Amino acid sequence: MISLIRRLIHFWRRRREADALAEELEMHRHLRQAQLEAQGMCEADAAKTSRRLMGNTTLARDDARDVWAGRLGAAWLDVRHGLHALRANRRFAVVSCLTLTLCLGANLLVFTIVNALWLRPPPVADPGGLVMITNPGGMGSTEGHSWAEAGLKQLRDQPIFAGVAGQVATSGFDASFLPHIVFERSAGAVEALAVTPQYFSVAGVRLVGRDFSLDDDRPDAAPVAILSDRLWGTGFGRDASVIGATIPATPVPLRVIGVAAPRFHGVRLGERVDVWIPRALTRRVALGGMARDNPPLLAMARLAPGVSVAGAQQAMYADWRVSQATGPSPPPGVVRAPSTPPMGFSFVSGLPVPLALAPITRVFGSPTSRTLVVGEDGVLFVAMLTAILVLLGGCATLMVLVLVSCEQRRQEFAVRMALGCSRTRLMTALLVELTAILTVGAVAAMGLAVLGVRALPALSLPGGLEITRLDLTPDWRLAAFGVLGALVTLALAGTGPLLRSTRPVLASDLALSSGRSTPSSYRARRVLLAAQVAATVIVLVAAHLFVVTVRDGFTRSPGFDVDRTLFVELQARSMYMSTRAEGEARLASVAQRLPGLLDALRRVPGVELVAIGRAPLGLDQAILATRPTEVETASGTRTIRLSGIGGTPEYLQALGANRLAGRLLTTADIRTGTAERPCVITASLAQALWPDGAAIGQRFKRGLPFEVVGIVSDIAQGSLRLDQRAAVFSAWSIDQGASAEMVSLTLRVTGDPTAFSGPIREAITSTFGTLPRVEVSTGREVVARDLGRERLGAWFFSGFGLVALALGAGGVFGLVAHLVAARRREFGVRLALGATPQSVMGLALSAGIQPVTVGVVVGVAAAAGLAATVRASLTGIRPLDLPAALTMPLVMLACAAGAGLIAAWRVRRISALEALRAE
Amino acid sequence: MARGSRLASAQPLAYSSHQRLMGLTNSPSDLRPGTLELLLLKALERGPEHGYAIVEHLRQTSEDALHVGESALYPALQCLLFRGWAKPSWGTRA
Repeated sequence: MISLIRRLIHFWRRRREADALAEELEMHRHLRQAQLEAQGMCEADAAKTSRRLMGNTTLARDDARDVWAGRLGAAWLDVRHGLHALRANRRFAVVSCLTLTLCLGANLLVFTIVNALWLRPPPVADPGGLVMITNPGGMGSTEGHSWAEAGLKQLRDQPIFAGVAGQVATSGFDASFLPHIVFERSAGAVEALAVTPQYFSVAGVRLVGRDFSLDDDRPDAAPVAILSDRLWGTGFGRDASVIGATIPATPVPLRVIGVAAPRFHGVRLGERVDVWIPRALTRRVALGGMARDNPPLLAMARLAPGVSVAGAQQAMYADWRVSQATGPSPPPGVVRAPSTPPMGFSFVSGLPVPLALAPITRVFGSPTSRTLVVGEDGVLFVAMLTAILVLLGGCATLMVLVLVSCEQRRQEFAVRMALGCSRTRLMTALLVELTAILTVGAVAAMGLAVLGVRALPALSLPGGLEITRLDLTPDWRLAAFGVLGALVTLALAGTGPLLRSTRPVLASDLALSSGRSTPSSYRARRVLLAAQVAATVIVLVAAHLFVVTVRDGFTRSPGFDVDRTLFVELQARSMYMSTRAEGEARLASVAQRLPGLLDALRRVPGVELVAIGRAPLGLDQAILATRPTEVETASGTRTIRLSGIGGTPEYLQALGANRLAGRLLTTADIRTGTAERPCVITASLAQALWPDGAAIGQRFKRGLPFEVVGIVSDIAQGSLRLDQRAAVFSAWSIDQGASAEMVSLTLRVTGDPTAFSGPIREAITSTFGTLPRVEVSTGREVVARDLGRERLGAWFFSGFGLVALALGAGGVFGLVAHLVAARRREFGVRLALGATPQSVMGLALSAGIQPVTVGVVVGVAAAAGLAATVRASLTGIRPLDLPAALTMPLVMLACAAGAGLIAAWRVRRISALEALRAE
Repeated sequence: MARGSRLASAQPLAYSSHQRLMGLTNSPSDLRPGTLELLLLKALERGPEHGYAIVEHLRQTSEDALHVGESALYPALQCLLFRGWAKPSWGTRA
C-alpha cells in the first residue's frame, strides 16, 4: 500500500522528478569532465570523453522511471505501444473492429430477445409451479378456451392444483372487456386487468395490503383496486396513506387495498399491468360495457406440492378423454359456442380438445394479443443457433486476420525478441492490441444492438408475439453476455495466433520478412474457412427461402387483389353477455343502421364496391379453415377441409376474385332458412369433389344443400401457410351479414388503399358513434400480418446472411493474404524463374477459393437437407428450388473471389531480387 | 559551485534488485542482483553524498576494481528512494 502511495506521489510529480534526475546526471557528467580536465585533457576532449563514459543516459533515465512505475507502468507502456501499433496498422484494426461489431452485435440483439423471453421470470414465488391452462391447438390461441366461473370451480376441485385463479380475457373477440381506467393523478389510461379473488395468492406475489376477497368480487361490492409498485411510485410518490384511501378515477373512484411487489406487472410475459381490479368490476369499467357479471377468464393454476407439470398434464388428459368418451360436450366450464357462428366472427371451442398446462415462464400475452406459449416451436432455438454460428464465423475471420497481421509483423517481433524482449512480454503487447480492438468492437456491438432493439417494432407481428411488449431494457445479463462473448471471441481468435507468432525466432526471420507456415496449421485454417462458408451458405439459403415465401405471399398465393382491397372489422358490443332478447334487439339495431353505413362508404371517392364479408386470412379464419367438414355429393360423403364463406353478393368482386366458369353471385341468389343455396366454389374444391371437371350445376350438402353456379380461382383460406384453398361462397342479405357484435366489410378501391382509413372511420363514426373496436386493414397488411413469422424469418436470416457473407469474404481475404505472406519467398523464386505475376496471383487465389468451393458444396447439401426440416416445422415455406437457391452460394463465391483477388494483389509487391538474395 | 542531491541512509540494509524490472537489462553485470544497492547503502553510511561522489568512493575503496556505470547507478539509487531506504535532499557544495 505504501509503495502504491509512493508510486502515485511520484506519478503526480513525475515531470519535476524527471527534470531533477536529468539535472543530476548533467552535474555528474560535469564533475567527470572537470576531473578529466584536471588530469590534463583539453576542455573539448574532456566533454566528449565524459559523455562517452556516462553511457546511455536516456536508458538510465528510463530505468530510473521504471523503478517508480513498476508493473503498472510497464502495462501502461504496453498499452501505449499496442495503440501505436494499431494506429500503424489501421486497416487491420478497422476490419477487425467491424468483424467484431457485426458478429457480436447480431448476437447481442438475439440475446436481448432471449433474455426478455426466457431469462426474466416474473417476480412470483416458485414460478416453476405456476401454470396457465392453454389450448395447444388452434394456432396457440387460448382465448378459444376461456373459462366460466363454473369451470374454474371444477378446476379447483382437482387434487393436482393447490389453487386456481383467473384473469379476464381481453383480446380478439373479448376486446370489449378491456378495462379503461384513468386516474386523475396519472396522465392517460393505465393498463388494467380484472382478476378473480385470490389472484395474487395463487400467483405467489407479495402484497403491501391485502388480496381481493370473495366479497370484493360481488356485483354490488365497493370498487377496489391493487396498484403496481411502479404506479404507486410514479403516480402517488410512494405515499403509504394511498393504501386504504379512495382515489378519484374515471369511470369510478377506486379504493386502493394493496400494492403489488416491485417488478410485478402480470403473470404473462408482455403484460404491463398497473392496476388490478376484481372481475365483477369489469362491467363498470370495461370499454364495451357488459350485461352480465361473468366475463370469460383465462385460467392460471398453482400446482399442488409434489405435482410436476408433466404429471398434472397427464391427469388433465385423462379427464378430457373421459369427457370426449361420454359425448361431444365441451370440457367442463368451457364457454360453449353457438352451433352456427353468425357472419363476421367464429368460435373456436366447438370441439373438446385436450388442454395443455404451460409453465408461466413460457406464456406470452398482452391485453390485445392472444396468449402464446413461446418456446414450443424451435424458432428462437434456430435464431440462437444461427447467432452462435455467426459468432463462430466472426471468430474464425478474426483469427485469420490476426494471423495475417502477425505474419506481416514477423520481422518486428523477431527484432524485439532478438533485443531481449521475452515471449510473455511480446504476447502481452499483442494481447493489449487485441483487447483494444475487442473493447471498441464490443462497445460498437452494444450500440448496434441498441439500434436493433429500436428497429424491432418494425418486425413486430400483429396477432403474434409482440416483441415490443417484452421488457427489452438492458440488464446485467446482457452486459455479462457481451463481456462473455467478447472473451470467448478473444480466446478463440487470439490464442492460436499469439502462441504461433511469438515462437522463438530464427535468424532468417531477421533477414527477410518471410513468414513460415507449417502445413498442419495452414490445413486447419482451410478447413475452418470451409466450415465457415458452409454455415454461411446455410444461413443464406434459409434467407432465400423466407424471402421467396414472403414475396410469393404478396403476389401469387393469396388469390385476392392485395393492392386494391380493404377490410374493415367493427365490433359493436360484446357478444357473450347479452340475453337472447337483448342480443336480438341489438342485432336488429345494427342491421337497421348497416345499409346506411354501406351507402356512406360507397359515397367515399375511390371506393368501387362495398360488401359484407371478412378477410380470407386471419387467426380465427385459420382455425375454421383447418376444421374437417363433411360434404355429401351425389357420389358419396367425404370429409375434407373446407371453408364456408358468406357475404353479400358483391363480396367476390370486391375481393377481385377471378371467375373461371359459370357466374358470380347476385342478389337473386340470397336464400334464407334451409332452402338450397346457389354457391360459387374455388377451383381446388371443384377439383376435389368433381375431378372430371363438370362442377357447374352440381349439388352437394354441407349442413345445408348447395348448388354450384360458378367457379373462381383459388383464394387462400385462413392462412397462406395452411395451403387451404377449398372454399364455398354463398350470398347473404345485409340482415344475415349483420351481427350484433362484429361486422366485417370488404371494400374494393382505386388508388392507394392506405389513404382510405380516415374517410372510412369517419363514415363508421357518423353511423354508429364510438365503437369499442374498429379495424381497417389493407389487403397488403392482412397478408403481411399472416406472413409475420416468415417476414421475421426473412429479416432475420437476410440480416444474419449478410453478416455471415461479409465475414466469409473477410475470411477468404485473410486466408489469401496470409498465403501470400507465408509463401512470399516461394512466390519470389517463381517470379525470378520467369512466372508472370498473373499466374502467381492465380495460384494464390485458387488456394483461397478451394476451401470456399468445398464449403459451398457442403453448405448447399446441408441446406437442402435442412430445408425439408424447416418446411416441416414452418408450414407454408416454399419448397427449395435448387437452381434459384444456388444464386446465394454463387454470390458467396463471387464475394470470396473478389476478396481473394484484393488479397492476391499483394503478389505484385514481391520482388524477385529480394527473394533470391534471401536464398 | 555545483548543485546536486545528497543521499542519506536511513534504514537497515535489505536485498533488492532493479534489473528485473525491465524486459531489457541496461547493462549486463557480473554482480549478483542486489549487490549494487548493498554497496550504495554501504557508501551512504559515511554521510550524505551525491551520485558522482558515491561512484568515486566505490572506485577508490575497491582500488579501482569496481567501476559503477551511471546507467546502473541512478536506477539503483531510485530503487533505494522508492523503497524508502534513502532520502533525497538538494544542497550546494563548493
